[in-house]
Amino acid sequence: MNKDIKMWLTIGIFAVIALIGIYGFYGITGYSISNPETETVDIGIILPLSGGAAYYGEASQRGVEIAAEEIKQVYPEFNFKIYYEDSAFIPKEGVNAYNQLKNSENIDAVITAASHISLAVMPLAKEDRIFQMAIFSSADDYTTSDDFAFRISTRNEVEAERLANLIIDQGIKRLGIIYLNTDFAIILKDNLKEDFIEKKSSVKIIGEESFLLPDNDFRTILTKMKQENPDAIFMVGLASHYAEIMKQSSELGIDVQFISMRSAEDPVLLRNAGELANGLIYTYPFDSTSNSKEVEYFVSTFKTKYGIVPDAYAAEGYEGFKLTALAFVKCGNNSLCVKQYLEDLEGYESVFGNIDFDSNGDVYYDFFPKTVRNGNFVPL
Amino acid sequence: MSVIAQLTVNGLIAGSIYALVAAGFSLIYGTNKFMHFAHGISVAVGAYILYSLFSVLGINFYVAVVLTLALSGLFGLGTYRLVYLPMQKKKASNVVLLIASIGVLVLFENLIQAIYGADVKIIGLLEVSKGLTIFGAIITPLQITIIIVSVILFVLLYWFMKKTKLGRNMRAVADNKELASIMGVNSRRIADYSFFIGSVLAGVAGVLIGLEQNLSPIMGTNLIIKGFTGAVVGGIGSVPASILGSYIVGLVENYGVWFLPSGYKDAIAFVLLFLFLLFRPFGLFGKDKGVKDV
Repeated sequence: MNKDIKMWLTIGIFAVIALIGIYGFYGITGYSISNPETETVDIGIILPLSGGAAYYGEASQRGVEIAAEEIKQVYPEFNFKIYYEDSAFIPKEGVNAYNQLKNSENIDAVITAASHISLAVMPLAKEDRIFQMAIFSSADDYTTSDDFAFRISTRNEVEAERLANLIIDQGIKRLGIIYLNTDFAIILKDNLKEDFIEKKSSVKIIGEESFLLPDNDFRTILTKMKQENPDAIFMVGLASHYAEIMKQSSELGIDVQFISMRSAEDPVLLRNAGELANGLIYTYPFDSTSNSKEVEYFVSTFKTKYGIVPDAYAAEGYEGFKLTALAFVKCGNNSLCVKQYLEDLEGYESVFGNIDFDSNGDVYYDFFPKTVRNGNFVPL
Repeated sequence: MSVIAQLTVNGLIAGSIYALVAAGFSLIYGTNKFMHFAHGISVAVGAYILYSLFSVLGINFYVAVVLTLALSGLFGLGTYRLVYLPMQKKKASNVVLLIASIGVLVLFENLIQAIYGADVKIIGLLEVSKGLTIFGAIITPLQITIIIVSVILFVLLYWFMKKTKLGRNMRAVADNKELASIMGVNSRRIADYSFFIGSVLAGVAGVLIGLEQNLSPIMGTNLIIKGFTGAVVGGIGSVPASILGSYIVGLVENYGVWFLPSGYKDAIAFVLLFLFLLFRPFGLFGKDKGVKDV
């Protein structure tokens, strides 16, 4: 081979190796050569802003806005942009929204809401090495240790344990379960049933019936349940479903204790079920009446801006965004650094109490029982 | 409570709603020979008009219902005149009209959501009351009203189609449009009437569902699927057959859910649809005319 050709070939090979090495370094470490103090961090937020879960999405969005204003005040040099997309509570739409955010806005982080949406987006965000924070996403499968997925919701087992205690404390012997056919509901139902009710109590599960999101007619399900004489019916779904179940139960002469979970605290339940909602008991993770400094500040700021008291969904939107932003303030656009920062975070005082993330990106805080009394959501 | 009686009543209540949708759908299909899937949105439009007039504006309920039905009819007529007729004038195929109908369905679902919001609404006319026990089944006065109103409407519709000149003309167009035109029947005017009457029936369904359950922007989609299934099971293009087919769908769904997990309710309807499309596409009461519509 000609000497010149050999020389150029050698230079070319070394150049390719060098390029691969540089790409590999930044790709593996997630390190950005941009200046973290001046670059803009683009945060995509995928919420159910339409459909049956729109209340939860809109509440979370208000929480996010409060957190965003707080971050701007405390860290004025931190530049960020928020891009909202609507998942409509449908995984396919959530994935479409994620792809839109990734391709059009080149997001650095994504916040997802609801278990089945977060689960659908998680493998994509992991592959793209985009940091993901999930809010009201309690499905067990969501977090693992080898991804960039974190969440501000506790795992289902925490609420399931509290629900089981509530059911046992109420002296219930025969429990029927009616649940929405989605990830969060199925996992919560299974956790409650298998890990707590069946193992640790003498409560008998007399029937389980699932339904789909658009379903409104529960008459036949309730007819089946009635035949088994339940003391109580545990409902997992959305507030609009609970209202219909309670109404149709009343029409069918089914007089039982209704039990539900966090999604019960929704004005739609009170509006649609009216007096029938009184007596419903459920578990809830956020106490807006707490006298902790963080809760008082959050509630006061929220009430000033929106004129209403924030709920758990607003609280998760608030903390989910705040923690994401804090991590990027410290790390810039470095996913590995962001992940490490949150894993190392200790004693963070949130509106849910003192929390820290474990190696899977999970947090733990307790739920407490609430009820509907005289048309209001109050502690039990 | 007798389980069989209760399941039968549950099936009749659901079947009545499906039949109202199917009757209108079949009426429109019979005279126009294309699938008007946007018929489902006529149900939603009816429900939301009633909500607006009664729950929001406080208009007398009965006046609001009359206005709702009239406006639902006009909505359907408007859909025909503004969407389908221009396409038909350009010789659009039935496939194109079908796609247009799906577009109208999606468009108005989103419009309803944009105007009224995504959260579920209720009409709030009646307090929830415990049902009456009749022959071992528990049924509320409103549910009895749903069944009776539906049956009365179907009887009136049957009388209209058999005994009135307009009804006979509609059947003539449904049977053979070209021959009917030769005999002096204005098929375009018949299409107007079919869309108006069919959409009024959808409006009735919207009113009844709004009173019995709740309103959501996507309520029309599920109902048109069930109504279409009922029409296929009974015999698409035949209004009486579609009505009977819809009651069959309602009963099969509710009996099916007794034996299967309730999550399979919609699957039961779809399995029924597929079976009939495969083995008896002209339905239980329809006739195989040996002519395939493109």
